[in-house]
Amino acid sequence: MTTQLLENILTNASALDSTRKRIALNYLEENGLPNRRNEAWKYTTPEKFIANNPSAPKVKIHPALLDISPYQIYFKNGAADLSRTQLPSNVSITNSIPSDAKTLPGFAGALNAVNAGLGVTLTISARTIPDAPILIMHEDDKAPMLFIQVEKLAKVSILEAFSADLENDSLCAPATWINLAEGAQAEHVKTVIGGRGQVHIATTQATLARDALFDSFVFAAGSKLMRQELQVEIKGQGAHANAHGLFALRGTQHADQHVSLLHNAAHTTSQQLFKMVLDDESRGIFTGRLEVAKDAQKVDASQLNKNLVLSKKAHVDTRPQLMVHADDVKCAHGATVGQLSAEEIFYLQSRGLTQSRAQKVLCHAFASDAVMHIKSDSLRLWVSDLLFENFEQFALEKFEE
Amino acid sequence: MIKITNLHAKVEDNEILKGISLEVKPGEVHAIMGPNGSGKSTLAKVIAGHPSFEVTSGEVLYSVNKKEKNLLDLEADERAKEGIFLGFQYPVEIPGVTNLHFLRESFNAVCTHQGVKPMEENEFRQYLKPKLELLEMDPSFLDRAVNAGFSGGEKKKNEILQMAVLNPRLALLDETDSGLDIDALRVVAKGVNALKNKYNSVVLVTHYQRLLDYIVPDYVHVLSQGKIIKSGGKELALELEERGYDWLVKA
Repeated sequence: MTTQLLENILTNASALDSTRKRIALNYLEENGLPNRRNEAWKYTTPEKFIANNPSAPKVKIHPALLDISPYQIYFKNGAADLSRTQLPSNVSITNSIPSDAKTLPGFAGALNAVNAGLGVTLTISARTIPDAPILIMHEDDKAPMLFIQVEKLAKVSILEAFSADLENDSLCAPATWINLAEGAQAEHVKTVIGGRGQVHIATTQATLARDALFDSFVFAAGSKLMRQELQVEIKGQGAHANAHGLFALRGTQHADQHVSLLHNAAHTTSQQLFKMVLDDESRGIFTGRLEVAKDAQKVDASQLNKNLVLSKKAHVDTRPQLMVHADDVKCAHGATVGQLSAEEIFYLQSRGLTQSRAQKVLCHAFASDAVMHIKSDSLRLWVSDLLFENFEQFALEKFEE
Repeated sequence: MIKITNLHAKVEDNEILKGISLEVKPGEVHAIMGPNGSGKSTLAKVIAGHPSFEVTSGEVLYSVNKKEKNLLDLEADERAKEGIFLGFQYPVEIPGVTNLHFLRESFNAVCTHQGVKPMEENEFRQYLKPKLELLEMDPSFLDRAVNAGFSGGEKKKNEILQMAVLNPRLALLDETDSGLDIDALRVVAKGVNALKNKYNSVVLVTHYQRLLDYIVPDYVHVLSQGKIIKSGGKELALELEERGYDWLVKA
């Protein structure tokens, strides 16, 4: 099945040749674009969103972002601009990825691979603990395949910032693969703002060796379509993964979070919390698969998706899924969809807050409860500010008296 | 302080209050007792302005500083600003908002309305210090999210802390004793007693007489099926403890 859109994607593919790209081209030619028959894309049809001839977006980097940390990497045309890169000691970057690095699976991975050029590898050497987060600024829609290697006992916080301008019909397909060695700790925070014409289809993959600790946070208030796939495999005993996210949607925005978390070792733990706040006619989808392999005993895992709907026309589909093959594990999962409760509003009113103020406080509380899971203080504050600038100040107008 | 006359209220099509008349004067403590489903909590919520209940007839007059107001005309937040406080049976958890922030916002909203200067954070922390000590609460409570992950006892102490901060004229305490162990009950009662003076009033809604050993009421009223069926002094509570409610309800 080939459509004009697919033709265009294939024609516009990066000129650079690589095995990864050839595999991806084959995948796209064989499978075409995902549609409703594809279970993983049941509620999102990319064809409806991707413009036939996407234009290149102008990207505006928030000046305040640069104050967070001196460690900065700029991505342009699928590669890191090394002349402007500043890194802590024992952290290195190259514009290539290991030859054995695979194309990330599925449509999102293939879309990245046909556009991504050679890829970028960021290596945090063993035992390195930078004193501030590493900021990755995406300056155009050509996001590379980013391979982050966190070596033994290293500890790092990384922010990937995407912000396209409002009008352009662009397509951005980033892929990030984070490999955590024994005892390594990495926090990966991703923000997607602006770009109301942009389609953002992203895939992030993480693998955890023994005693590794991975924290993932995604904040999305931008793009007309935001598809975020997260695949985590816990491979070594004693490892722990946190996967958290907050989607703040307005207008006709469409967000689709797809998580797949696999416990492939005993004595491992994980926690997931994904929240969506939906206003106007926005649409949110959550699919979360939590899987525990046969021999992965003593796993403790939880998954929760909570949705706050502010408007009658907003729509949520949530699918928490649990597949447990081991018999001595603790797993919890659940999903909620709701509005602000009258009882909660009354509680705040009975303490002297006006009704509109009570609604704002509760809405902010719902959203910022997710943000609290970001461990890096500076990144947590940053995301809090973004939440206000890109969502709350608009969405909460309706509560004004 | 407050004069309730022939108050009727319903939720959806169920009439819950069927003609309540009650007067509470400054300096008095009243206890409202009664079996489950008698309308005790509803009465407290209706006075505080809960939007789920519709008042179908009756009058609630509230007077402070010789000014009389028809309470039913006011929104819940306006009632709070006029000095009405409701201690919740099930306090609401507000993750993402710290206790300090919430208390200060609440305090400043009430102060601004009453023409008192709002407080800055440091000044407010100082203002809170003796109140935390009264309720035997660690200052770290202030930096925790409102009621989130609090034990039952901590939530109820937090309600009384809010009462201490807002210094209401009329405090309605809805089942403040339910789910408390004896130590927490003692602290909560100590807090309420310390806040009591001849200018303010307390209405205790309770299922158990036990609370009244610690906060001694001037009057006890028994509610059944939306009506006050008996009123008396504190000895009425003891009689209820001994004989239950049946003898009154059947009478």
